[in-house]
Amino acid sequence: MNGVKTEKDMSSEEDEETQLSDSQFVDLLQQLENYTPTIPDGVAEYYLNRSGVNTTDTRIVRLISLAAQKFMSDILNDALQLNKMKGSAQNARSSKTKEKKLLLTMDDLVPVLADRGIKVKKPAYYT
Amino acid sequence: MAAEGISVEGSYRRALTMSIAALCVETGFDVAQDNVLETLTEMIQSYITEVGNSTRAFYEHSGRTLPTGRDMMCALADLGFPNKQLLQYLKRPRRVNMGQIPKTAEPSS
Repeated sequence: MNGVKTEKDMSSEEDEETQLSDSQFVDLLQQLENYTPTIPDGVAEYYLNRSGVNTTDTRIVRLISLAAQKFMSDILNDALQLNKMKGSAQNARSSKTKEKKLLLTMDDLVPVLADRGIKVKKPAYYT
Repeated sequence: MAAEGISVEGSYRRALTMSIAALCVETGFDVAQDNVLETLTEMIQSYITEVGNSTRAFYEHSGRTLPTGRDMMCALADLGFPNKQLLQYLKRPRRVNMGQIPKTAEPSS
């Protein structure tokens, strides 16, 4: 990596485990050329431009959409696991196995976000 | 609001909400509460903005006016994002696409 390291406590071994090597990075950029992320390119580009990044390179725009998607997917996956765990506990009690739709509620999301250090609070007087 | 239409800002935000909803479907949820979608939209918007700000700091610091992929990788690494998982994430099996504009029927000439 030719970047500036700001995290002093991050050891190089840990870096190798989590960060891409040079060849992997080139590979990733190549793959991004024919890939459509879930977040539309135009939307990601708009928010990038708003934060002052003046780019039209689709690979860079797609890289940020992909990263944001990954961030969200991880959170949603954790919420799904939590939801399923709660669901199985309830099913065991009622012993009624009815096909139910999976509903994502704030009750699933709040503990997952709290785990990542994000505090979500219900606004006062919100119904 | 509906009668007057939505602002540019609002329409981009709505597109983000739709992406989040698509990701929820991809993960396996069938239904999501409105306030959950709103919370996640706010989060993803601020995440993109934050990565953008950090990227700008990186490339401006090195005296450039255009970002490279490396700048963004550094910005992501700075936020503690495990970049290595991106390659596997790219190849995930169930993928919901929203970015493609559906093709209209071609005129029969």
